[in-house]
Amino acid sequence: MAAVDRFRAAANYGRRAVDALGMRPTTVTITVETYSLPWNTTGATLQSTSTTVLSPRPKVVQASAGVESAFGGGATSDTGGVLLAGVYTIGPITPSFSAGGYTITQLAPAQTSPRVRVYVQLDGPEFQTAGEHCSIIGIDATHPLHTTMTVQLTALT
Amino acid sequence: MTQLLDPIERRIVQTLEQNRGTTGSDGSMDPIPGLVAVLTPDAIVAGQNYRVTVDGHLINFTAITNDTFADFAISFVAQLTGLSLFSSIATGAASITCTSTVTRVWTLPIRVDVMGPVAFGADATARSIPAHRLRRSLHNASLRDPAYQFGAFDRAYELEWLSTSDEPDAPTNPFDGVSLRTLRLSLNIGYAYGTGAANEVSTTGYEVTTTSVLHARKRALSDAEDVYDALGFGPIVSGMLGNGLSWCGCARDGATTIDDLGGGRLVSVTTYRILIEKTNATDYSP
Repeated sequence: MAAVDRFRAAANYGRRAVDALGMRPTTVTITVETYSLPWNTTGATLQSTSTTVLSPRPKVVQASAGVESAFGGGATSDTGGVLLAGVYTIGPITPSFSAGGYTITQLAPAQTSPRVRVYVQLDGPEFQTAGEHCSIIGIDATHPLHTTMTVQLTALT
Repeated sequence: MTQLLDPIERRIVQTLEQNRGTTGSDGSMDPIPGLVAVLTPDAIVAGQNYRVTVDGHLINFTAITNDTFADFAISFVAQLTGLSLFSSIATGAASITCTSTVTRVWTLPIRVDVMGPVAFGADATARSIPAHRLRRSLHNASLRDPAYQFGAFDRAYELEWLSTSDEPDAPTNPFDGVSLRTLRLSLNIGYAYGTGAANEVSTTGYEVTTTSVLHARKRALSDAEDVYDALGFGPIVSGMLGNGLSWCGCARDGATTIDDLGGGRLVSVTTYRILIEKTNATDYSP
C-alpha cells in the first residue's frame, strides 16, 4: 500500500468516527438519471437511475445563502421569506484508496449526453423533508487527502 | 401600380399575388402569409363585410363572391387601390378557424415542443416543429435564473407573458358575445455554447454536438425562424385553444434577438402578438 493510501485510510477512519458520533446530519446522494429523451422534454421517460450514497457522511456546510432564484429552497423557504438557491460545501471526502473513498468521477459523474441528469440530493435538517436537489458547481480534488464539492440548490424533478 | 400603395397595402398586394392560384396539397389554396386574422364566419358570403388584420392593421373588406371557404373573392384590395386586381383568393378554412379544448385564457397551451403537422398536408408538415426538438424550461422558470441547471438549458424554451390588450381600433363592447384580445408574449429559447458544453447540447437532425457548440447563434436564429413558421401557420396552431377561445393569428412583433448570458449560455428572444377571440359569456377566472 502506497503511503498516500495509508494516510487516506487513516483520514477516512477519523471521518467515519465523527459520523458515528452523529456529527454529520446530512446525507449526500449522488444521482445519475438516464432518460429516453433530453431530460425535461415532453414525453421523456426515466430509463435508469444510479445512486451513490456517500459513506461516511461528509460534513455539509452552507457556504453562502446563495442567490435569489425560483429554484430556491431549504428550510428557510418554508418561512415565507425569500427563495434562495443556497450554496453548500460538501467535504472533506476521502479520495479513493484501496478500501474506500471516492473518485472524482464517482462524486461528479459526467453528463454524457443531454439525456443524462446528474444531481446531488441532500437530506438533513437544513433541507425540506423529501430532500433537495443540487447541481454541482465546483469540485476541488487537488488535495491528496480530501476532496471538496460545492453544490447549489436547483430544481427538483 | 404597387409603388403607389403604402407598405401595408403593398404587403397585402404582394402576398395575394404570390398566393393567387397556388394550390395546397390538401386541395385547398395556400393560406395567405401575413393574413393574421379573420373574424371567421361560418362561410364567406358575397356582399357581407369582413375584417382582416395584417401586421396589426385592421382592414375591412367585402366579399364579392362566395363559395364557402373553398374559393372566395374579396374586394378590399380593389377598394384600397382603386383597381380590380384579383379575381379570386382562396385559403383553407383551417387556417382561419380555431377549435379545441383547453381552459383559461391565461394558460394558453403554446407547446412548441410538440407542435406537429396534425393532418393539414405537406404545407403544415414543412412548417411544423419536430417533436422533442425543444423542451420546456425547468419548472417554467426563467432561463435567466442564476440557478438554472446548465444540463437542461440547451433548447429549453420559456414563455414570458408580457401584456394583454384590446385589439387596436376595436375597443371591446361588453355587450357583444365575443371580443378580441391581443396577447404579447416573449418566446425565449436557451442555447449552450463552448467546447465544454458538448454533452449538454441537444442536437437534432444532422447537427453534430462538437460543431453545434461553436454555432449557437446560428442555431438560435434558425430555430427562431422555424418556430415562427409554425406559430404563424394557422393549421398547426388552430387546434390549441378551446373553452370559448379562438386562435385568430400570430405575428412576430419586432426582430428575434439574442441575449448572451455568459457562462456558455445564450437566449434567443422573439416577441409574438397573438390575436384571440374570446367568448364574453365565459368565466375565465382561475
